[in-house]
Amino acid sequence: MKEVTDEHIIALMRNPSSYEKGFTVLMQRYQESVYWQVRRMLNEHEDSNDVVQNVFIKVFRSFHTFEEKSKLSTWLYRIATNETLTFIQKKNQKAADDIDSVAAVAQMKSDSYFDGDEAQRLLKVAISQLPEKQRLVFNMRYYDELPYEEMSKILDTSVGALKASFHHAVKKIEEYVKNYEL
Amino acid sequence: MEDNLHKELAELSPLLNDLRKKKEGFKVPDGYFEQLQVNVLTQLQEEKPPIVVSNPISVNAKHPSLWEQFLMQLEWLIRPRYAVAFGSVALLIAASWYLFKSNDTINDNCTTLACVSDTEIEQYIEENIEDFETEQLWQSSEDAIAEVTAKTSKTEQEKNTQNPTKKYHLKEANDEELDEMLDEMIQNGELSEEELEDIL
Repeated sequence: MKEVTDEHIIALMRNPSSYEKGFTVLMQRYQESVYWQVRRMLNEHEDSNDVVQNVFIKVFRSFHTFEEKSKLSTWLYRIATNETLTFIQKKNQKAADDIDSVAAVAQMKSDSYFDGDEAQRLLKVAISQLPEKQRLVFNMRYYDELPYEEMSKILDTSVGALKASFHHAVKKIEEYVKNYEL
Repeated sequence: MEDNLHKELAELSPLLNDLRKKKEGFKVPDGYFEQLQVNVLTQLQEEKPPIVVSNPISVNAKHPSLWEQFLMQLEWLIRPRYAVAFGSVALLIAASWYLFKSNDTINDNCTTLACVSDTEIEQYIEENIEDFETEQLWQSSEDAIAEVTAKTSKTEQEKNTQNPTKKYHLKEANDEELDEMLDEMIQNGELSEEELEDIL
């Protein structure tokens, strides 16, 4: 089967008669990467599902604002990032900001949609302790392997600042994991 | 880029570099991604958001067929604001054409009473005699007498040379004088009995 390209998706969505078809193809191509980006920030599947649906509804409604100054994936990442941060801010207003690390580990253990080992569980808890922006940077680099240049476009931050942020995050997580193991 | 990340992590934290090789641990419900697409499309259909398409460029886009282009134009025309404007203009053009055409068939650009024939006037008066007031009829008969008088003015002028004192002054004459004058005109052959009947 011929691989679908971003150019093909954009062309379909620029034409009113094939707009929905283009959107369907876009979802098929990007729904998993968008979902995992959101899930790594929120941890819980139900929350992630709500945010991802909002992301794609927003994409459907505002595709005309995509000016092709960046890659389609970059534009999607940016929307997903904004939606995720908005969700976290709303949730933080309802619940206490600081979750006790022991409680966080227990929460991860009770999550039916997590089946990683203890080391992975500890890593997830350590990541969840990071400030939101630093968490975004760490996830994009560590899991999605995005180049700093693309992260710079998504987060509107300089490459140097992103490198510094990633290095700090790595050190914090390492320290957290080592201390917990002890 | 993976090599760079690997190298970067190996230098920064061998521990995290090793953890990265393990399975992440998150999972999703069975068939979640198939259902996700359906859920999003269902929500969009329920809300029916407008599709706004800007910058209609296409690299690989299929060019719309002539029939699709015609339908798109038709769709544009039947949008309410355009339909009202289009209908108004069409109505205005139709009304103008009808009025112009009607004028043409009635009197060939003639707009004065002089263009109406005597036969048409008589026919109109006969058909609408009840609509005329007595005053109008009397005025008409006076006008008719004046017209007859004008017709005979040449004869009168000729006779004035023989009898210069004889003149008719209709405005000043009473009924008796008028009768007398008409009798005299009939006797002199200046007025026929048919013409008199027409006058009266």
